[in-house]
Amino acid sequence: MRRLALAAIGLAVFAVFARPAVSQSGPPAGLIVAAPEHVEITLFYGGANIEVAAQVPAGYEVAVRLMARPERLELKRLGKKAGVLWMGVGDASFENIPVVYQVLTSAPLVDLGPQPERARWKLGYDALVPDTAPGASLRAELVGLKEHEGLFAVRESALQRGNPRDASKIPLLSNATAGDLGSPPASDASVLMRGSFHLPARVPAGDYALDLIGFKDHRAVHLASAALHVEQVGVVRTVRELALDHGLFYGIGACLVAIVAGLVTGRLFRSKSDGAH
Amino acid sequence: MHLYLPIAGNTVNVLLLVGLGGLVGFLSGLFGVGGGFLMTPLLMMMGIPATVAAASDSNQIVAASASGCYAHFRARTIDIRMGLLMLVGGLIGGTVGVRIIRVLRHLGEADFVITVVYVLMLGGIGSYMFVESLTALRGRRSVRASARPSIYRRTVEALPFKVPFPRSRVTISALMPLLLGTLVGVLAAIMGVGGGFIMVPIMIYLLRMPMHVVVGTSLFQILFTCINVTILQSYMNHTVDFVLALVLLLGSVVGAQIGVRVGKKLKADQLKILMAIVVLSVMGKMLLGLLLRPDFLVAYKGGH
Repeated sequence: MRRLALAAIGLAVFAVFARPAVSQSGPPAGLIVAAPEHVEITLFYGGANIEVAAQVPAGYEVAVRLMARPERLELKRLGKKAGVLWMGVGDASFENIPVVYQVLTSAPLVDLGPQPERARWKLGYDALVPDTAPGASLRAELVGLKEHEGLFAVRESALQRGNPRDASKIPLLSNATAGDLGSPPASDASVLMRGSFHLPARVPAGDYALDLIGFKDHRAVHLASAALHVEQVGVVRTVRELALDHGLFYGIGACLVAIVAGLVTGRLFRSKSDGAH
Repeated sequence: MHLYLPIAGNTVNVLLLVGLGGLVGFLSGLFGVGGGFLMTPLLMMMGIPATVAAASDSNQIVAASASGCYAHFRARTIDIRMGLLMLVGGLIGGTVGVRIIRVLRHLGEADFVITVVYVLMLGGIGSYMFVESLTALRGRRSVRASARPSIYRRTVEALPFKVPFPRSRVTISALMPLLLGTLVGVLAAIMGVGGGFIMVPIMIYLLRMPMHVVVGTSLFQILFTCINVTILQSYMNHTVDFVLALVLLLGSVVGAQIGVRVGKKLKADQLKILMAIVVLSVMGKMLLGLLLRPDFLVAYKGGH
């Protein structure tokens, strides 16, 4: 309760006192908040739900994009060999593919704005892997694989409109910033949008960008952004650091533990067997 | 109950993993195989990357084979002399096999060759064991025993450096286990597995060792091979997930002991026919995977 109250005060103060960053006379900016903003991967981590709330200027349709840093992705292409056997038949390379890519929208993607505007903000799979990009012919296969893993998702019309006063229920992201348009809107000139992302267990540690993109009059504008931090902690972090930094000792230790476990169990079973006789 | 695996980077159900370890440990104790040919594909089906599955499985097999070895050592069913010769051959063969893989990868045909070799080996060994054991169980012993020795037998008998192997009750050339160990090492390296399921039939049919000594000797060899693989994978590729191996070995060490006990109560031909069924089932699953269209026409690189 105390955290929620502080978040509400923080959001209210930010909304009232923040000044336009770009233009005093421009339309109001949006604001995006999410909880939690810091995800810890512990030994019992099984995925996380990230609640997002966006304060959006009235009259805008929006998309919220959660994305990792884009990088080159090398996959194996599967095809038929000798006419009957399905197996690897070559490489499939993709450029600028984030390991996590999830989008929530307030309306169907095609209704948000024209394709070039959506492409500019990488909204939709055809924007992520354009027709002219390497590996475009395998776009559907890549998307299918990533959606199956829970790393990719595009959920159209998944943002729900709510009362701006509900924003106080979401803890404010400490590093949320106003977008291109300047200050966040006053609550009477804005709409609250809410939705949630699901990060699967296999999500890699790292920094992820949350972006709020608004569409009005066939034009897309960046309204706000925030960062989401995913980090391995505790035993998970220790084991990973040992494996990466001290591979030889880690391997020897793993073998010793395995041998001792095997011998102790063997001895226990023998004792049990001897006792039975 | 879920557990996050630091190297695999994914979450798995602990009870499922312990059960899987127990099942593969049981087979290990029963047949003297490491179980990598069964465990690795099952782990991959649970969402573990192929390279991490194979490497962590080696770590787990160290525990299961140490547990099985201890039981067999107490029962005096390990032919250490034979096992050491095959181990030396296996290490030489493994090195040769890795070079063959490198050439095949360069030619772009590695996946095809590996898969076809895998299916043919599993199918051939499994079918032969099944038919032979079934014939024996029906009481019709092979007539070949009384017939003129085969070319293979005459060649084996002509080889120099004959050494007695009292525990196996055979006297053969020391070159035999060395050469056969090398062959298994080559195949194991090409197929990315420990090679226990090839080693066991070779000991039974080509070295004519008694079944109860075969299981213990195979586990002895697998123990050292997997220690070597675990340390190398940890050092060079950082793909051993200790948390995954630890959970698997909780089940496998107990399963291995139960397997050894059950194995003692079964006749050699019953053991062989069960092993044949396991090998043929894995072959059938692999064949289906090759013949049915995959869900997606792209896959992550790594592993076979």
